[in-house]
Amino acid sequence: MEPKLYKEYVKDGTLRIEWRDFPYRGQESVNAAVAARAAQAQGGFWEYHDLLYDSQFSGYSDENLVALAREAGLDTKRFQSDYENARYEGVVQADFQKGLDLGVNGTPTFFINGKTLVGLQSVGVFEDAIEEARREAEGG
Amino acid sequence: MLALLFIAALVAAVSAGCGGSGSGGSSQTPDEQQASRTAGSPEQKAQGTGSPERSAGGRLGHPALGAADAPVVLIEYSDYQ
Repeated sequence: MEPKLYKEYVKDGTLRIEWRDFPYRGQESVNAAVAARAAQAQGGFWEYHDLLYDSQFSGYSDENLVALAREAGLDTKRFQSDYENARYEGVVQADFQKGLDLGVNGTPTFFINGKTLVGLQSVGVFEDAIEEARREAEGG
Repeated sequence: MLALLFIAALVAAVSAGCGGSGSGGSSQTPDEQQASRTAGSPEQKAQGTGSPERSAGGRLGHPALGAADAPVVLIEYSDYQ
């Protein structure tokens, strides 16, 4: 998510951003999502999430995913156990199914107070949508 | 005695109501976001470590950034590829 939105809206309490997994591009997508949830179990989701995006062109082999866990400062033994046993795959698949139920068919897809934005958007589009949602939430 | 039974039943009913929104990790539809905005997400409340602005959910709820009572909730469906 755009850092500007974080600075403008998350820090002042206006905006909450929630992540949902929608791994629709094959097994590596699923693996990355399951690995991120294993990182989450250790309180390292966002760090790991950022590392995944930074290294997406290297691919998400098992070795790479464990290496990223090490880089994130996670307990790699625990991470490896959780990841290899697909401990959190159910969480990932539940998100995926919910997305399908909502009509998501590509990523990224955003819901801002229920209103849908599909695909990459400029910061301005998000700002407009957030401001509109805020006005509506405040009854304006 | 009847008064005690009544109070016990009332407490049980209130407890059930408070817990009825589900544990961390329950999925929210956009329609459900309104409840989240007013009540806060369970996973945000459950997490006990790290920054309140950058939490990942203590019970593997939905990873989230920001206050549980924020008036605007942005849900992002994405993958890593």
